[in-house]
Amino acid sequence: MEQTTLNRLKLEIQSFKGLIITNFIGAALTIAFSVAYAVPKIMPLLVAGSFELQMIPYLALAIVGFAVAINWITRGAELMEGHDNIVTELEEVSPDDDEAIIGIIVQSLAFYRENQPKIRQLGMLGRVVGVFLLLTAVPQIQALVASEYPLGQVIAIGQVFVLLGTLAVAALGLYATSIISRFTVKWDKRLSVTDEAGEKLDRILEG
Amino acid sequence: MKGKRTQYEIYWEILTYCRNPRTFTSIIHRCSLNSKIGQEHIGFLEDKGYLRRFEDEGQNLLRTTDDAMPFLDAFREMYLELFDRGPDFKL
Repeated sequence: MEQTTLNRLKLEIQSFKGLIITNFIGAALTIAFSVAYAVPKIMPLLVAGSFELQMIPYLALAIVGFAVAINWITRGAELMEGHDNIVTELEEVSPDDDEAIIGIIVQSLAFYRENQPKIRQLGMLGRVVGVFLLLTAVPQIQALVASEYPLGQVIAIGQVFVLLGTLAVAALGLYATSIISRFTVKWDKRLSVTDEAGEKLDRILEG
Repeated sequence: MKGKRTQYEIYWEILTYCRNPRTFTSIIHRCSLNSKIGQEHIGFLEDKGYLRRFEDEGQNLLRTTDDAMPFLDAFREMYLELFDRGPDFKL
């Protein structure tokens, strides 16, 4: 029984690490795309210092994209730091050592209780980025459909790649949100079980 | 140990650690408690008879008593079950 418990625990801890890494990738790609999409549009401002009103949305896009992605990375890094301690201890646990396994379970529950808000924020950030990038894909699709860039030209091929990249990052953001949602459902269930366990343990303690 | 633990989880940590005799300082260090909270928890467990205080070679030590076994057994069973039959998460 303990072997199964330890394996399940390891699988979940490793999956959570994968979840954080997925978020890092999403955040890094968000930075890359906000730069790639907005910087060419505001190049005259950067190079010649000439400001035009139509640059404002692109300037805003670059700033918001950066801010969201940095926030996303910071949240992920904070979670990773606490989580790594659990991973390190888990690697040293023997399958026969019930007390050590329970110790890791207690640490994991304590970690989740403390970081519930940050984990939910990660999910929200993924959703915001996903929806935002899907919205930015709409004008790109319209431009392609309207053949604003004649096929065969380098700029048209580049536009297709930018569009595919935007859709891929949007999908990653929404995927990260869905797995965070599944994760929180499972762990919320566990916390409610520990609340029920608390009532039973209280009765035992009070004799 | 970081994070938010329930009082039962802290009791479990103290009682498990004190299977071998321990000083107050080593308990609060190991269980990441401050002196005030540590004193409250240890005082509660002593009052209930789950921890016993004794002197050995000039050291004031605490040890878990047999009366704590029903709590430790129930805790073990309930928490292992969380990952034995509970919902699992994987990518």
